[in-house]
Amino acid sequence: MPIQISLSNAIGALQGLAGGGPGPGPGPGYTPPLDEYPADIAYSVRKLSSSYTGPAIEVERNPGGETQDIYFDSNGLVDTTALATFAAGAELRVKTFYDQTGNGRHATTTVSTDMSYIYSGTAVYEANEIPVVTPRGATDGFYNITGTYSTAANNTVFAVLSAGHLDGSYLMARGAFGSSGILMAGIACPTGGCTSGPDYGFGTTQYYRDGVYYGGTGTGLTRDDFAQSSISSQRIYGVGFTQSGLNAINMSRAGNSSIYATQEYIVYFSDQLGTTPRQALEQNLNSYYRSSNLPDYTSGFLADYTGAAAAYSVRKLSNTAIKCMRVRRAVAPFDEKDIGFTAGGDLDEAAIVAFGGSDVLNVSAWYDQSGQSRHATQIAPNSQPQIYNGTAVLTENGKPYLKFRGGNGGNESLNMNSEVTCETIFSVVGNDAPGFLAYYLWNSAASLGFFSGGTFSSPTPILGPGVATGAVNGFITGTETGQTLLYNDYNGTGWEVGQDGGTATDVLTISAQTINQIVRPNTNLQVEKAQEFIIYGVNRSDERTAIEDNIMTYYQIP
Amino acid sequence: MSIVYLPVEPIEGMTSGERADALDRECWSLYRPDSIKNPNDVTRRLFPEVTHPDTEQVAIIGQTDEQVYISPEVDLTNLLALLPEVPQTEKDLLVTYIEINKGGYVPFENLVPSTSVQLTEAEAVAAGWPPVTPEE
Repeated sequence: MPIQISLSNAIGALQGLAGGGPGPGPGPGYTPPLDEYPADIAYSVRKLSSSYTGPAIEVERNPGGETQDIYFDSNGLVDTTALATFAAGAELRVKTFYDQTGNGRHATTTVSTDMSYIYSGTAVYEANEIPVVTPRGATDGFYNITGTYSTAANNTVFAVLSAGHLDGSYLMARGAFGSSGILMAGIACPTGGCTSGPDYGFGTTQYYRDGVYYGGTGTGLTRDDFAQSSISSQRIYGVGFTQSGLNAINMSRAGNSSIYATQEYIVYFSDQLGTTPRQALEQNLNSYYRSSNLPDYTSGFLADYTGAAAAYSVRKLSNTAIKCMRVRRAVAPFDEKDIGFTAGGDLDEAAIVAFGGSDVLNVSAWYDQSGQSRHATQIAPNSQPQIYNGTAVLTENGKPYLKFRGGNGGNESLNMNSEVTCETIFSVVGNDAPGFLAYYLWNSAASLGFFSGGTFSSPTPILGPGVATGAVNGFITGTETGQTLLYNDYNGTGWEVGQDGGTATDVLTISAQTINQIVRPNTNLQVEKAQEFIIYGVNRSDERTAIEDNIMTYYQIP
Repeated sequence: MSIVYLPVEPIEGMTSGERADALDRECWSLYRPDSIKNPNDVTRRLFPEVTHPDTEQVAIIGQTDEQVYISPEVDLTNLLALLPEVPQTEKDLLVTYIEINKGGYVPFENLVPSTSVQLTEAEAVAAGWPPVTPEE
C-alpha cells in the first residue's frame, strides 16, 4: 500500500514545504506562532505575530556607526533589501532584537563588539537559505533583555539556532538566570566547524526530540541524545527549565566556549507547555526553517508501523518528514542543498535536477525520518554515494536509488551518527555484479555486517542470507535490475532472513546487533544500490507481512 | 595513481589526530573556503584518515595524482598555521603556487610539504598501518 499522506500535510507541501526550498513562499505562507500562542518574549528574523507592526531588528553600520531599524518584507521575513541598501557595502551588526510580543523586552547592547552580524558587506548571512544573526568574533552575541524579567519557577524557550560561521567549541542555547548562566543544551564542535554533532548538554529534565530540545518530564539528556543531531547545523531547541529569574539571553556566542547563530527565540514565562501547543509550535518553527524530521508523526509508514529506530528512504515515510537527503555538487562551487519530497511523498527529483543541472550530485546526508536524528552522513567528498549523474536521477525499477559501489570513487558509505540497536531490518537494495558479496549494513567497531549475497570469505562474523557455508546462495545474483527486499529479524535465539516476502529462515545464532554504517566502505564489498533501510530496535516480525506489502507495493517488487 | 599515507606528527597544542583533522579540513577549505561555506554543509574533509592501531597516530591518505580544486576565494592562513615545521621559503612558494592556480586544479602531490613523511601503501602496511586496498 502506498504511503498515505494527510491532507494537511499535502497542503503544507503545496505551501512551499516541498521542493527543498525553505521559507514561506509567496505571501505570508505560515501562521505566525504568536497568533495562537502568545509569548512573553519573542525575537525572530520573521514576523511572529500578525498584530506586530514594529521592526524586526536594529542594525549598526560599522562599529559605532549609524543605526537603523529594519522591518519585514511582504512575506514576513526581515527586509533583506533594506539591509543591503542601508549597508551600502559595509558590514551590519545587530544592535537590538525587538520583542514582538509587545512587552518591550528587547534584547540589546550598546557595545559594538558584542553584536553579532547579519550582513557581510555583500550579502545577508543565511542558514538554510533564511537570514541568520551570526557571531564572527569571540565576544559577539551578548544581549541583555530590557524591561521586566521572569520570576516564574518554570520557563520555556523555543529557539532556532545554527552552528554559525566561526570555528567553535559548542553550539548551545543559553539562558541566564540572576548573575549566573546555565547551559541549557550544547553540542561540541571541533575546530573547523560543528560537524561531529551534539556532544553534551545539561540542565534539568531535558530530553531530545530530533533537533528539538524540550525540558519536560522526559528522560535525562545524554551525550548520545545530542549525538543524534549532527547533520544539519541548524536546529530547533525547545528547552524548558526550572530556574527562576530570567534576565538575559545570550543570543549568539558565550565568550569563547560556545557558538551559535540565531534565527528565532520565543520565551514563555510559564511551566512547560502542554504537548499539543508544544508540538504545534515546534511544527510551526520547523515547517518554516526546515530543520528537522520531527517525531510526532500521525500518518504514513512510520505511524502505521511504529517503533522504528532509524529510517532512511527515497520516499516520505511520515507526515512530519520534510528532509530526505542533502546533496553536494561534484564540481565547483561544490555547494550543498537539502532535498525534500513531493506532495505525493516521492523524492523531489525536480529539485535535484534543478539544483544539479549538468553537474553530478552526490549525497552527503541521508536523513533519518524516524524523528531521532540518526542521520547517515559522509563528510569526505570522495566517499559520498551518487544520486544524480548530471543528466538524470539514478533510478531502479522507476524509483531513485543511491549508488554506492563505484558511484564516486569506490569507497562510498554513509555513517550513522550513533549506533543503532537492531532486531528487525527491512532493506531495499540492489546489485548488478553476479555473486557479489555486498554488505549493506555494517558495524565498523565490531566488524559485523548484514550482507546481501555472494561468496562468503572474510571478514567474520557476517550475517546474511546463506551465511552458514562458504559458497553461499546470495540473494542478489546479478540481474541487471537487481532490486530486492531483504528482511532480517532476531527471534530471540538467532537471526532469520527472508527475501521479497518469502519464507524467513534461520541463518545464524548470534545475538541482536548494533550497526553504524550504511554499506561497508570497501570497493568490493558494497551493495551498489540502496533505496530504503528501516531499522527497528525490537522484533517486528508480527507485522512483517503488512510492512513488506507496503514496501513491495511502493517499489513494485514482484 | 598511487596511494600515499601521510602520518601526521603532533604539534604543540594538538595531537596527531587533531592536527590531521585540522589539516584535512583545511584541504577541503581549498575547495570551499570559510568565506563561502554554508554552516549546514556536511562535507568537511577532503581525504580519508586512518589511525595506527598501536601508536594511535593518524595518517591522511591521499592519491598522488588526485586533482585538488583551488577556489578563487581560497585563504591559506589556517593551513599555513598548521605547518610550523615547514620552512618559510617553502610556504611562500606554496602561496604563490596556490595563487596562480586559483579556479583550477593541482595534483595533490604538489601540495605535500617536503617535511611530510610519505609512505606507499606497502610501506605503511609493513609499519602496521591498516590497509586500504579492497578486501575480497
